[in-house]
Amino acid sequence: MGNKVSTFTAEQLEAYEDCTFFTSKEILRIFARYQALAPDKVPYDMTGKEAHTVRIDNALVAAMPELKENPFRDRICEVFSEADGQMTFEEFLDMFSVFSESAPRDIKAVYAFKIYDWDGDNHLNKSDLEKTLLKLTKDGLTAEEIAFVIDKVLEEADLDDDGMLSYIEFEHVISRAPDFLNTFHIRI
Amino acid sequence: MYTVEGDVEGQEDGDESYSLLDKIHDQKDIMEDVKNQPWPITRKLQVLSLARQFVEKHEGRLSRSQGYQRKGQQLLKQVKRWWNNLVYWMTPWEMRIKRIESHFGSVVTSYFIFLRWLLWINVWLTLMQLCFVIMPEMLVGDSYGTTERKTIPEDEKYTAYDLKTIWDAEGVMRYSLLFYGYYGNAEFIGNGYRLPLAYLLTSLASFAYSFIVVLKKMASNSRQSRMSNKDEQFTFSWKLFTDWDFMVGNSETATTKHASIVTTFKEAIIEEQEKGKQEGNKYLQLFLRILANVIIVMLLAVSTYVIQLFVNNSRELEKKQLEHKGDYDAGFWAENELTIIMTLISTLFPNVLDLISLMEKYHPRTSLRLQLARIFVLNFLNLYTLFIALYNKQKDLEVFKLTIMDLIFMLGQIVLIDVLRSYFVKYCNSICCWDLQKKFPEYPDFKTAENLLHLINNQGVIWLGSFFSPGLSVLNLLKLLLMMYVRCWTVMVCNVPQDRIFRASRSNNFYFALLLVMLFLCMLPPLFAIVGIEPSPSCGPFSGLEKIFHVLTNTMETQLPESINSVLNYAASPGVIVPIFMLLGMTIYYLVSIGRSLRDANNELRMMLEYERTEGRKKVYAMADAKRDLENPDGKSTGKKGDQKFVSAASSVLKANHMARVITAAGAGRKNNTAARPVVGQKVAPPVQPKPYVPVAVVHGKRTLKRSEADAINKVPYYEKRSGPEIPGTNGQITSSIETELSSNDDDEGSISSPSSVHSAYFPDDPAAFVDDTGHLMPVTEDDVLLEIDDNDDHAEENPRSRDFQNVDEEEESGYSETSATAVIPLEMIKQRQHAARPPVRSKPSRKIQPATIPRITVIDCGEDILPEENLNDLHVEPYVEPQVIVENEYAKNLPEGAMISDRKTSSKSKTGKAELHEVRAEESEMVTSNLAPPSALGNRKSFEGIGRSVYPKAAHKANPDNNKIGFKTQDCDPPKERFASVLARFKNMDV
Repeated sequence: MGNKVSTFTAEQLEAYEDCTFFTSKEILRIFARYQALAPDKVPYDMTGKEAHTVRIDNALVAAMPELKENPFRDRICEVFSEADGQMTFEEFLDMFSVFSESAPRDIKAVYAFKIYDWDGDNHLNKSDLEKTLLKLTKDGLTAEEIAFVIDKVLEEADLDDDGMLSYIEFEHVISRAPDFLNTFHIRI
Repeated sequence: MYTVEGDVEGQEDGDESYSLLDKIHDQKDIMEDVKNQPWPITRKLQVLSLARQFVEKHEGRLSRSQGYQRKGQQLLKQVKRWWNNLVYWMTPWEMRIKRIESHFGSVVTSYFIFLRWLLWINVWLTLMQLCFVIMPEMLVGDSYGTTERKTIPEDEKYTAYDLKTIWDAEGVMRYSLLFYGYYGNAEFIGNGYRLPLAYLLTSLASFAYSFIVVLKKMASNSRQSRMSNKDEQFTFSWKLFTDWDFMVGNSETATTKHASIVTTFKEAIIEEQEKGKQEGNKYLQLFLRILANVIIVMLLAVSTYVIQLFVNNSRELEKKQLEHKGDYDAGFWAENELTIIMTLISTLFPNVLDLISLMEKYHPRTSLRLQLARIFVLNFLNLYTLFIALYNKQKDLEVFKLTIMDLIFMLGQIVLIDVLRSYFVKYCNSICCWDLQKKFPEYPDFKTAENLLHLINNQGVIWLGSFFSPGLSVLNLLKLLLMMYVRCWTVMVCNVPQDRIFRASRSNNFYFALLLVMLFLCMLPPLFAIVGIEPSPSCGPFSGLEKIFHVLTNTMETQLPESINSVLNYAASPGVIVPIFMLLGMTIYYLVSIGRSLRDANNELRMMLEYERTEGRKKVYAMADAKRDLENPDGKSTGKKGDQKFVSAASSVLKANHMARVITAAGAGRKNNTAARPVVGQKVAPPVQPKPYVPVAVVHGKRTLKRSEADAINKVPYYEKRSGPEIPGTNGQITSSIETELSSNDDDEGSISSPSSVHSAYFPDDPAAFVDDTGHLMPVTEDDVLLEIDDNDDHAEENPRSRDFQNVDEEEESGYSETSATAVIPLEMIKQRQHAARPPVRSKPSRKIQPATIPRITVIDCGEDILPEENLNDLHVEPYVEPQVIVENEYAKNLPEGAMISDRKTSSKSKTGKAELHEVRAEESEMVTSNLAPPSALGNRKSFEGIGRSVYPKAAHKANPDNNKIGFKTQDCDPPKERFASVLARFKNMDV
């Protein structure tokens, strides 16, 4: 425990507590997970700027047991990491904060939208939806079936009929989904 | 309250300290709220540290009491966090369950959570029995061997410790605190403890507690699931966006999940395609279903008969044993056949039922529920048969044995079916000629439904038996604990997740309903025993009494004063009871009818909401059509031309609207002549000015707007988006999160940041315009808008919802869903300029647009949070910049060739969050405020009223005192018929 206390300063921990939905204990636990991903790269002492300068590869993060089966793992890492393909501890923490149980529906919906928005144009267009569906079903559906599903999704959710979903439309769907809060979280 | 410091400050510049206090509050709000912002964490941290610095720097200037307050709050926060941590650590099996959840998803977890909840309830039940019945008897009651009932008879003595005797719950077991028979019937034990009374009251209290707990849980569950309404409006979207369980971390589970998602998609596709199609073999299907039910009823009858038969057998055996005075040894089978048969039935029959349900071909979810209900009935019938046919003094022993037998069977099942099977599959796979893992035995799956039912059944047995055996609840507690650990272990070691598809979240209350039914039915036999049957004279706390409940009434008669007794007697007389029952009956009837009407109202409101949405869609579709015209390559339209085309297309939508207005305006002039009906499309040659090109601007950023500005902006449903020149220090975060769903131009993306490129939209919709006395359409003036602001300012402050309604009204009108901080400011000067630049012309509808004459106002906002300016130099966060108002009158100059209606794609990442969420909820709450007129009439009227109220009250009323009528006309114009028809058809098909 001794070395854990000195991993972060008290101010750092408090700031993390304010910025995430975790308690300090959980933050330390998450750091332990982060550290274990790349023990040689991540120092135990994060009191300096290490928390937002030291980066580890997204591939390492995506290989975590919590994420490794997730069809959207690469995209999740991409959404949460600012640098290309690499992730700092703060970003790592932020990611699990959004996925934590206590994060409200609002913020989860925002990130769900970002995750499903593969090309990052702030709209879920047909190719985004198709990509999501493909990841979800792993070649289980025929091309016609995929087209059918996408058409149906657009018919249901695309209120303005522009062939793609804006955030409002997406949120409109998500806010009524009974399972979204149950399924859109990851325990770490 | 003021300290010296605060006083001085306060006297010198009270104003400043007030605003400082405000600022500090703002900063604190930011600190509270920062975790809810969808920003990258670096930004969150920066904002947080800035806010904190500001607060720390300036808080000293305020009174010390506020400082204490802050300290107190901090302490409170820390305590709260510490408490959360503690709760997290104290919750039993939390980590275990979480681990299971991460492997198996939420369905399997629901079993364990249910088990934990049951365990918790049983802890209380056991504690009650222990504290009020078992412990007193043990500590101060007659000790073992003092009376006949507490002594093992001589002839049983040397077998009393045999395993077989103990197995039968005879011998030492029978003459122990575990059973009813052991308890003495002395009225007092120790220093006046009324044990018989306590025995009865504890049992009754256990039932009451169980009822309350189950009902409370059900109520909270249904409150939670209230949001998820039944109509499957978004079947495919929900599947696509929410079906993946992000907690799944096990590759097998993931594979199963993928497979199940594919299956549900295929099911949904087929369901969708077959919707409306009648099934060919309807009669055959009906016949099969009836047949299945007949078979099931027969099966149930058979099981009842078999149990009765074995009960009789065991009775005869008992007689024989009595005749032979215990020397008769019938063998293991004969003595345990009843229990074994019962357990066998409850193990085997469900599988048979499962097979039968195959031929019914119901929807999987329906069939799962049916299956569960049938198994439940089966178990319950068995239990009742056992209890009624067995009805003798040994029922406590039977129930006890049943509980133990059930535990052993469960463990056996786990070992045989789960553990051995999975090890066999795992290790014999290499030496077998077929794939054991994929084909025949496979790995066992975790049958959540069946296991949950088993728990419910077990709990029923406990409720049934605990009156006759106080020790049963203790045994049950141990059993559940054991089950918790064994199940946790087997599920992790041997099981694979079930491939049957159903969602735990929806079935939750179903299980609780079953549990409640079970509780009620299991309460009946003990209650019957309490009021209807003479207790055994030789054993038990109630021996010697005529009826068990007399212990209560006797005590009351002797102990309570005469006056209370007479009151109670009176209260228990038919003269009081009958009216009370009638009253209860009436209340229930009343509540049921209220509930029904509320449900109807709910359905109707939902229909209305749907309808409103379709109404709103109409216009949007029209706009979309216009957009399509624009993008039509055949037209070879240049940007400018396209723009005109769009405008004319959009205006065609509103043409009827304008015309109707003009006609009414004319009609208002000659009020007497009511015969002049406004007919849409009739050629009245109205002096319609083509369109009121009200310049509009989009504003963003909740915080930076003063309220009056924001409100003003909120009022007007016009949308324009324009990217202005970058303000230094804004990091390019300009405006732009409006989600106008109108149109988008793919080319827009690149040009956003360029100051010269302008994307503007004119939606010559009516709301911001009215017809003036000369019959010209005029834009709404500032006065009109401001009038409305004053109206709403207070509401917005007191009740945020009222503001939401306003927004919704706009939304309904214009077909957009947009946010609170998004809209347009038309100003008086616009009007003037318009007049100056373009004198009113009686023009034909095809008149061309002169964009150059249109002034534009853009309000640019540079961020969402107020940040202290003094810290700007060393930190890279956008400063708080007052919204800038830019008025331009040179549209044509700035409009590049090909620039299009508006840029819809630039909705910023930083915004999104709250405001829009607001909107959806507002939409829901709006439902509630609507009244209950038939949707067809109301849909139109309401949306129109919405316009009148929130957008241009003055204008509307000035021009059209009669606008409700027009509302009908205008809404009916130019529907994109085909689409609307399909939407309407869906609406009609809705399951109401």
